[in-house]
Order: sequence, then structure tokens, then C-alpha cells
Amino acid sequence: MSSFWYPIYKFLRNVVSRPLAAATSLLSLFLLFLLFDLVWIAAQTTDGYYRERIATVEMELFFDDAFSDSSVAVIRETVRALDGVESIDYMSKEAARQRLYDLMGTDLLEGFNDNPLPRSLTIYFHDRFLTSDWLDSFAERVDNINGVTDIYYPRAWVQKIELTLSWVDRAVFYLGLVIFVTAILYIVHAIRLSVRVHEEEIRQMRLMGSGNMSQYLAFMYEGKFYTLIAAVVGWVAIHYGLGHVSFQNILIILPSLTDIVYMCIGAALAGFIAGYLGARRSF
Amino acid sequence: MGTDAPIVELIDITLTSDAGWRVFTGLNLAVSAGEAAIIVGPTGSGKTSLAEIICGARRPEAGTVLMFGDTLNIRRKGHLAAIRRKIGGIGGLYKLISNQSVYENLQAPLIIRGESAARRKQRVIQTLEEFNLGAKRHDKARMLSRGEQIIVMLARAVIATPPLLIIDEPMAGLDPETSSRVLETLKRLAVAGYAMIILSTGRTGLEIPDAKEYYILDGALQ
Repeated sequence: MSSFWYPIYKFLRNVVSRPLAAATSLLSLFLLFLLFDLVWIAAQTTDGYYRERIATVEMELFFDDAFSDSSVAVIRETVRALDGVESIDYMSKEAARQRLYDLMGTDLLEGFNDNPLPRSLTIYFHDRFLTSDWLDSFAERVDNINGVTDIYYPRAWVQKIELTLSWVDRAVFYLGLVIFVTAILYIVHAIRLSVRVHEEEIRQMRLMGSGNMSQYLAFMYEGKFYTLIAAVVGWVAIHYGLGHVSFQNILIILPSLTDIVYMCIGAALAGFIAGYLGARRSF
Repeated sequence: MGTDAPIVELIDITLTSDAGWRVFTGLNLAVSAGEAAIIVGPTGSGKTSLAEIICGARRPEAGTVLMFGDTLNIRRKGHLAAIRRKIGGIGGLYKLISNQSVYENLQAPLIIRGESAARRKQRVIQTLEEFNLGAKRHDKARMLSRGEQIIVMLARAVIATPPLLIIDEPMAGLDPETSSRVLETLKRLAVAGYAMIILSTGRTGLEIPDAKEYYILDGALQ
């Protein structure tokens, strides 16, 4: 056993010699990480749901009757060329009347000499442009076009969704932070207990000339082991669980495999550092 | 037989106990390579404190500690660990790791020195035979008698052949048979050329040629 293998041997021995303590640490951290994973999935799912809703947002431009159809056609091409526009539908006065009829089931304009409904353009946008600020600036630009009498888009609704998403993001951040700090504190405490149990051995090893780091390393591996196993088992449990349940109208969005791998590596690293802190505070 | 250059040199050491009384006032000690110093003093006279100062477990308020020609600085962890690897300890601060077997206890100093597995195994088996401990190799240290523990500690102290041994109360609590076994071993180690600092409350009965005997009186060595 070289000085490389010694800390690994010591860490395995630490874990095996106190199976109950090891199981308690693993279960506690598993529950913490499971909670973290569920919060993460809930945030992703909520985000996905609202993004899907926002993707349906459109803007309608209405035109003055005095403005010629050819001028409206020119405006249509001008607007189509603007950044963020995906497609445009033109609606004539007749088409607007037919739509109203389809909606109401009767011709509400019967008896009118002239069709009072305006011509309009319905603009659809690329998803990535759809924010309330961007919609405002777009509306401002098209409002300056001669002949446009009115602009409609669900500004308040988009703003409410944005506010909701920002609250979800904030809640996930703080909840994640609390869970992360709890996991770190838990590991630090568990490692301090482990150091206490092996105090005599550590003292003798140091008296015989062992460096601090070679003693720390065993506990750093112990911290890393608990967090890595707990994080991985948490995701395995979630994948297994999601394979057995389904929800109507809600698409559960899991983080990507890369993100999950990064999260597990991050958890292992946090355990490694917490192991160091726990050991350092105890030596 | 000692050479001129001291490997341990304590100069004007002053130490106050945690309770506030003065343990050492201007204590001086020099031990050269291959030399034995037997320090006798009553309980509470500061024998273990002296061992603590030499192995860097305690810092005196005043004075200089020179170990192997270098000033001992316990704040420099790497330096302290390197000094400690040159010391083999028995008794007092130095204890066996109770939940480990005799074999594991013996290989600990070799692991610390980064010896290969093959070299470690060979050295441990050789030492087990040398100290007649073969039958006890798998026994946990806590299961051993006081006498057996002393023998295992002696074996552990010399397994990596450090130049200095600190032996604190080697005869305490031993029956006559084990005492003579320990004395024989200590004599053998002295002849082998280890420098030794032996701390004892009474006369050890240890006869080492050219060994220096000191008494701790009023916080200094006489």
C-alpha cells in the first residue's frame, strides 16, 4: 500500500467500521439530493410549460380604411423583414367578418351598409425574442408606420408569466442554496464525528511523522463518497419513479444527462471540500 | 557509542504547566547519536512534558529546541513531520492503535515513509520474528497485555530504524519476567546504536555502557 492507496484504504475502513453511521449519512444526503433534484425538475417543468404558453403570443396591427391595400401590402413586407418575425398573416375586412361570424355563430354586422371591421396583420415571432420588453420595443417601431391605427398584444399576460418565472428561478436558487449548505454542514459534522472516532489513530500517525494532508485525504474521500453515492442514487430513484407515473397535460422536463453528470460531479467535489473542512476543524 | 554532534539539544527551556506552575526553568539537555540518556524524576516532574517538547507536541515558552541540528519549528508542519519520522516512541504519548492488529501497528511507520508493499511485508515479518511476536500478529492491540504492548511498541519504534528513541516509563506495570525481556531488548537496541532518551519514575535497572543519568530537580536536569 503506497502513500497513494493508504488514504483510500483508510477511508474504506472508516466507512466499513461504522456501517450505521455510513448508512445514516448516505440516507440523509440521499433525501437532501432527492429534494434538490425534485425542485430542479419542478423548475424545469414550470419553465417549459410557461415557455410553451409564451410561444403562442402574437401581435395584431390594424389599419386605417383610407389606406390602400397596396400600401398595406408594402407594410406587410416591411414588417416581415424586421428582426424576430417568423411569419405574418393578412386578414382582409371580409375575412374579419367571416371570423366574427365563425366565433359568434351569426352575422352581427347584418344591416350595416359598410363593413366596419378593420384590415389587420397578425405577426408571429421566433420564441427567443418573446419578452415583454422586446414586444414593447417592437410595438413602438411598428406604431410609427403610417396607416397603423391600433396594435394589440397580451402585454400584461406576458409580464405576469415573466414575473412567475423569475419567482420560480429565485425560489429554486434559494432552496438549492439551502439544500447545498445543509449538505455541506452535514458532511462537515459527519466527518468531525468520524475524526473523533479515529482520534487516537490520527494522533499516533501524526506522532510517527504522518503529514496532515495524508490524514485529511481519507476523510475527504469519505465526504466525496457519501455525496457522490447519494447524488447518483437520487437520480436513479427519480428515473425509476418517473418510469412508473405519468401526468396528463404536463410534460415532465428532466435536466439533460450532461447537467445531471455535472451536478453529481459538483456534489462529489462539495463532499470532498466539506471532508477537508470537517477534518481540518477537528485536527 | 555517542558522537560529538548532538541530535537532540534543549537549551534553556522554560515551560509552565496548564495549571500555571513552572515545570522547567532553564532546562538543558544534549543527546548525541548512539547515546543513551536516562532521565529519572517523580510523577509530575515533567518527564512526559519533556518528551512532548522533543517530538514537537508542545512548545516551550522560552528556550531553543534543536533536533538533528535544526531548530524545531512546530508551525512548519512538513518540517515537524520530517523530524517526527526520525523518532521512535514508546509509552507516554506514544501508544498502539488499539483497534488495529499487531501487524497493522508495525507497518504504520513504513506506510508513513512510503515504503513499497513488498518491502513493508518483508520488514514487518522480520521484525515480528526479531521480537518474537509472530503468534500475535493478527491480535488487536487492545487484546494484548501491558508487557506485550510495550514489546510491540518497541518493535514499532525501531521498524523504520529511526536514529532516536524516546521511551517513557518502559517498566511501569510490568511483571519481573516481562521487565527483564524489555530490559534485554533495550540493551540490544542501545548496542545497535540507537540514541535513546529513557524517562522513568525510578531506577530502571537498565545497564547501558556510557549512558548518562539525569534527575529532574526543581525544573532542571541534575
